Amino acid sequence: MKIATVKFSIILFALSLLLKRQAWRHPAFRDRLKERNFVAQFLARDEETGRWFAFRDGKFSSGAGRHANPDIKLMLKDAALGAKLLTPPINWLNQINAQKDFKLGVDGPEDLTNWFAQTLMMAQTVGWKFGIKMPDGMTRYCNMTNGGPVFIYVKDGKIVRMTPIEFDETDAGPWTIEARGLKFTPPRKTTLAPHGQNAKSIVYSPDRLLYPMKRVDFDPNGKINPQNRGKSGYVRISWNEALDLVANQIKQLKRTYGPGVMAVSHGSHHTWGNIGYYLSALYRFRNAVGHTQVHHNPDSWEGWYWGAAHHWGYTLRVGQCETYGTVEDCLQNCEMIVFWAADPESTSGSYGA
Amino acid sequence: MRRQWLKNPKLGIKLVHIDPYYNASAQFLPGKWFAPRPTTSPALAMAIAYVWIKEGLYDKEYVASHTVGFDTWKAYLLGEEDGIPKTPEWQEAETGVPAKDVRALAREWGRKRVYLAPGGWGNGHGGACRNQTGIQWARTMVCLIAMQGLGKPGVNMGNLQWGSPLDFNFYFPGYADGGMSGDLENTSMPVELYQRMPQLPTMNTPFQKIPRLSMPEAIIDGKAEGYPWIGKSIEHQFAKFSYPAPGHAPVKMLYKYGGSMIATMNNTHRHVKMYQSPNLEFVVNQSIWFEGEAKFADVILPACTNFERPDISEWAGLGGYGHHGQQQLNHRVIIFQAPAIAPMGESKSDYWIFNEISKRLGLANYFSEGVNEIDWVKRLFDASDLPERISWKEFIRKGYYVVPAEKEKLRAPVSFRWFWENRKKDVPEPQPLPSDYAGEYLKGLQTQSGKLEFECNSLKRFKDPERPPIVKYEPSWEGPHSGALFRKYPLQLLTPHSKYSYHTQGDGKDSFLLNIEDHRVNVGGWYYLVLRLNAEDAKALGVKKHDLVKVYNDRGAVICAALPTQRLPRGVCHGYESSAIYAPMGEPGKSVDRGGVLNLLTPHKTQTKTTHATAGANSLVQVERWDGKTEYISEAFAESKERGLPSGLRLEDRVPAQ
Repeated sequence: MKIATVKFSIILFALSLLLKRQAWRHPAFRDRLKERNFVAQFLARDEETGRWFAFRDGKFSSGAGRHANPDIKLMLKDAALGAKLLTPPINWLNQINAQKDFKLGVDGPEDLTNWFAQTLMMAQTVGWKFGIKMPDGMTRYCNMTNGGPVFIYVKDGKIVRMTPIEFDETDAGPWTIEARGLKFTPPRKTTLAPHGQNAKSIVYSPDRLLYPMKRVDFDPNGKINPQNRGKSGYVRISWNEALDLVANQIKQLKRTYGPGVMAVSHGSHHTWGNIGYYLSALYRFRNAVGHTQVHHNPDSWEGWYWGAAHHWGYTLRVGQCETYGTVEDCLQNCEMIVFWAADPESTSGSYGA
Repeated sequence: MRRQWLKNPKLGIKLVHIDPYYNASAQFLPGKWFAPRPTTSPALAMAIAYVWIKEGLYDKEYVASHTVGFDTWKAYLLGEEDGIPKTPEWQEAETGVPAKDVRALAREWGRKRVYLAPGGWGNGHGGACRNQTGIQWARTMVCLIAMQGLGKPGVNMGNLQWGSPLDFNFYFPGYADGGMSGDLENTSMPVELYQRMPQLPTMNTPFQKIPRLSMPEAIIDGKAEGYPWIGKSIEHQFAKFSYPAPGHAPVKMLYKYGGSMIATMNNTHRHVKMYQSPNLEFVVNQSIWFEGEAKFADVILPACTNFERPDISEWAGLGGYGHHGQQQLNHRVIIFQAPAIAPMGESKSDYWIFNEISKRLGLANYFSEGVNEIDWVKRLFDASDLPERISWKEFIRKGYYVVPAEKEKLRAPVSFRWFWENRKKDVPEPQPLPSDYAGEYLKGLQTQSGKLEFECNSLKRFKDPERPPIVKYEPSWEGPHSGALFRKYPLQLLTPHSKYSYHTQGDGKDSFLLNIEDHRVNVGGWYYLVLRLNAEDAKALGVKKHDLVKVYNDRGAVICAALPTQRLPRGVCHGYESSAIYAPMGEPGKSVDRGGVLNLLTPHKTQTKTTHATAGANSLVQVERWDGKTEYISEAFAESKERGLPSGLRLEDRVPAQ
C-alpha cells in the first residue's frame, strides 16, 4: 500500500475518532448528530480506498473501506490528494483549487452533503470558548455596532449591559501630536455614536421579527392579491414552508420568464460585520442564484462623484479626496476652519464620534 | 472627540459654520454662523471667489502651476460670460446672507491658512451634496481650495474628523473587500483579500440593472434609465444603462434585504404603488425588524442581529471606496463579534437563511463551501495580519485587538503635500489606477491634465448642459425659483441624516432613543418625529412647541411634532429623514403618515438628466396645524403623469427669486 493511502486512511480514522470524542464532550455536538440519519462515504477515486461514516438516531459509527449503500459520497481524486487536503491545518487555497479542478466533489442530496461537511467543520470548532468570565458571574463579549465597538455583558443568556471599550494595560498606547507648544493625545477607549447606543435596546425590541410569516391573502398557486400589500396581515409559517416557498418561486419564475427575473434590493448598510454583511453573504447568495442588480446611486457622495471628481479625480473615493495626516497638519499649521454643510457632531464621521 | 481640542484658545484656530441650520457642531464649537438658504451655497462660494479675484487674495502662483482653466471660470465669475458679476451683492439675493458678511469672510479666508471642511467628513460626504444643486456645491468647494493652494501647510480639506496618524500598513479587510462574497466585480476583493482568503468566486450571469432611484418606474412602467456608480475612472459615470437590458426577463420577484427604502429613497409613495403592482408576482423580505417596508412583503424571513451570530470586523474598516476609513478614529480596533446570546424567537443568521435556500437549489456547497459561519470568521482572521499579533484563542476570549499607533517617524505623509511640492504621490492609497495617469505614474492627479481643473476636460469630452465644463450657478428646480409651486409650498424642508439613527436602524423599535426630545416627542401616546421651523414662521402659522403639524406637498403629508426654533432662518424647516416607521393612518399611499417618513415628500428627480444623483435633501412643503384628518392625497399627486417633475411645477414656472 502506498504511503499516501495509509496516511489518508489514518486521517479518516482520526476524523471518526474526533466526531466520537466531540459528541461525548459537547452536548451541542451530540444534538447536532441527532439531526440526520444517513451514511456518508469518503472515497479516493483511483484506489477506491475510503471510510464510511454512519449517523443513526444520534449514534455515530464508522468503518474502513466502502459501505455497500452510502447516501452520499465525498470523492477525492486519489489518496494523496485526500491526505493533503485533510491534514490540518486546512490549506484553503488547496481546497479551493481541488474543487475548481474537479478533483474534489460530492454526490448525493444537497442537504446531506452540506450537513455532513458542516458537521465535520463543527467538530473542530465546537470547543472554542468565547468571552471572559467576570467576577460577578457575567460573561463579557465584544461586538461592533455601526456606531462603534462595545463590551456586552451577558448573564443567564440575556444582555445586561453594553458599554464602550476601555482599553486595559496590555493594549497598545495612543499617539500624541505636538502642535504650537501643546500636546494632543486621545483617551484610551472607544467612542460610541448616538445611533449605536441603542444596540442593546433594539436587540430586545418588540418590533423584532421572530417567526417566518406569510401574507394572509397571498397564495403562490392562486391569487396573489398584490393590491393588498401593505394592508393585509400575516400568518406564522414554519421555516421549512417559508424556505420551500421562496426556493420554489425562484425556480418557477426563472423557468417561466428567464434570467434576471429576480431583483435583489438591499440598503446601503446592515448590521456590522465582514461575513454576515450585504457585501459578503448576500452578494455570494445573489450571485449564486442570479439576479437583476438594483444599482445604487452614490448616495452619500452625489455631488462629489458626479461633480467634484471632474475637477480633481478621486473616483475611487467617490469624488472625495485623500485625508492622510490632516489632523496633525491642521493642528500645527491651520489658522481657520470653514465648516460648510458640515455637522460631524451629528454624523460622527459615520462610525466614529 | 478631537473636535474638543478646537475649543482650546491656545490653539488659536478660528471656526466658521456655513449651514442653513445652526447644527450641532456649530452649537458645540465656537465660530460665526452663516445661514444660506438651502441649495444656494454654490452662489455663496462663487461670491467668495469673486472677492478673492477682485482683491488678489488667492495663490496666483499655485493657480498658474497646479491648475488649468482658471481664466475661463474667472471670466464667468466676473460676468464676462453672462453679464452678471458674481458679487457678494448678487449672492445675497440668492442666499440671504448679507454681502458685507461674505466680503468679510472672503477677506479673512484669503489672508489665512484655511482648512475647508465640506460635509461630515470634512472632505465631502453628505452635507449639501444631495440636493438639487449638490453637484454645483461640491464643484465649487474644489475650486475654492484650488485657489488657496491645496496641499500647502495649513491649507487642506478636513475638520479633524478624518486624518488620524494611525498604522495604515497593518492589513485587516474592510466590509467593501467583500468578505465571503467571492464577488470579484462588485467588491474590492480582487485587490488583496482574494489572495489572502481564497474562496470560490461568484459571478452573476444576468447583466440587467435597475437604477435604484427609478425602481418604482422600472417595475410599474417596465422601463428606467440610469447612470452607473463605478469608481474605476471618471468616465465610467457617463455610460448610460437601461432597464430592461436586452434579452432579459422583466423583474417579477423582489428579494428585499433589510432596511426600508420607503424611508430612505425619495417621493416614496411611488414605492407603495410599486409594491401593489401586479407586475411584482412575489416579494420576500428578509429583515431583523418589522420596519416600514417589511409590511409590503408576501413572505417575511426573520434574521437575527450581529449579537446573536459570530462575525469579525474592524471599527470603521470600510475598504473599497472608503480606503483607510479608520482615519476617522483615534485607534484601530478589531473585534471578534461573539454570538453573545441565542437568536431571538426563531430568527436565524442571514448566512443560515441563504444556505437553506441554497440547499433547495442545489447550491449549498457552493454557497457555504461546506463550512459554517464561524469557520469563515476564522478564515478572515487568518487572512489578516492579526495572527502575527494575537492568537486566535486569545482573540476570541478577549474579543478585541488594538493596533498600536504608528511610530511618529513612520506616519503617513500629509495629503496633497506631494502635489504642492511637485513630488510623486506618497500617501498610502492605491489610486488613481495606473492607466488613469496621462503622464508619469504617480505624478499628478487623475484628471486629464494631472492638475486641478477649473475647466474640466472630462466635461468637455462629455456634453451635459447641466454640468458645463466650468461650474456655473443654476438655481434649484425646487426652491424659491419654482414659481407656482413655491407660492403653493413656500417652505424649504431640509431632510439630513439623524444622529440617532443609522439609516433606519436606530429609529423606532421602541428603543430608549425615542425618549430623546431632539429625536421624537411623545404626544398622546405616539412618538412623533420632530419638525423644526423658524420661530417667526411658527408664530405666523399659529404653531407652538410640540403641536402636531401636517407637513405636506403634492406628494403626501406627514404628521410631526413642531419645534419652533431660532436655529433656522425664515422660510426653512428641518426634520431628519430615514424614519423606520411608516404608519399611514388609512390606505397606504393615500393617507397621512404619522411615522415621520419625510421622504414621502422629497423629489426623486435626479440632479441632472445624465446623472443618477439623488436631489432629495431639500423639498418645498407647507406646514399647518394638523386638523386630525387621516386621509390626504392631493389631486395633483393622484393624477400626476409626469413623474420627473413634481406635479404643479413646469419649467416655465421658473421665476427669479423675490
